[in-house]
Amino acid sequence: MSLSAFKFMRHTVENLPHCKKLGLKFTQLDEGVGAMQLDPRPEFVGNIAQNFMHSAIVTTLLDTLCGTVASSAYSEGRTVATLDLRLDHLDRLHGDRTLYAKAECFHHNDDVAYVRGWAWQDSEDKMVAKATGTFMASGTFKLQKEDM
Amino acid sequence: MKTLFGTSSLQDINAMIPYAQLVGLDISSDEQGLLTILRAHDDNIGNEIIGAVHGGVVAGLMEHAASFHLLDELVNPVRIPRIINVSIDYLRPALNKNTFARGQVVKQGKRVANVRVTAWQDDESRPVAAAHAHFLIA
Repeated sequence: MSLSAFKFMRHTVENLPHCKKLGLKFTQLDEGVGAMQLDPRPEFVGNIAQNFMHSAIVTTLLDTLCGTVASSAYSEGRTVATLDLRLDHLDRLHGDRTLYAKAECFHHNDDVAYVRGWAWQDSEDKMVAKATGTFMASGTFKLQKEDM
Repeated sequence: MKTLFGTSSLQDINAMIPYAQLVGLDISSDEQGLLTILRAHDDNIGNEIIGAVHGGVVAGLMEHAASFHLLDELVNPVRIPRIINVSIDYLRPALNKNTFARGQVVKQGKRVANVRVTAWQDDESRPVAAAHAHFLIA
């Protein structure tokens, strides 16, 4: 994909209603790899007593990132549908710290893309969650724009 | 939750969770037992082409439902269950309408519980997602 295609993909995903609502931002997107971050907000909390974020926050971050990385793995940029997503919740999510995530597509063929992603708060070697997602590839990402 | 949360009901506990309010998660019940509901919400859209709920919000529903159904069924809970992992199968697009989820505790061991969750919209026999999760319970 061209540089502008990656830019278009980042912009499209960041502006999906739910991504916009949470404030999900890309820090990198290239062919089959990407990174995102999410600044903390009081609304993300799932455990008020201890101020931990809800596990669904890191799940949403990794789902978004893994799905976009699956799309970007195809040189022509394909839309994908999530088949499944597995999340290992490795540690508590501190309610007042930024979440960071990276993902890479470790295999893809004409039909399916396999992606792994991981998230952390303090340093990358102290992961808070790991994800593995499988995505079915369909139309090209550009077609989606024209359809709109 | 008798001992762990005093006299608070699961609805009371849910009402105090900011994330549940953010996406519109309600705890209800019907003749078959506890029901977790994700309310239709324009802010939850993750695919504008078909108007589908973001996969992460569907996952949130599954995780939330799993922990509440576990809380509902736990015998003598000693701590708030902590999620170990979850695996979600996306079966059909979840459109922008109410989504319902029901959990089933497959096994409650001494330290770990295994929970299955199914989510649907119009027809319970046509699920939009299915999940299983492990929780640390002691």
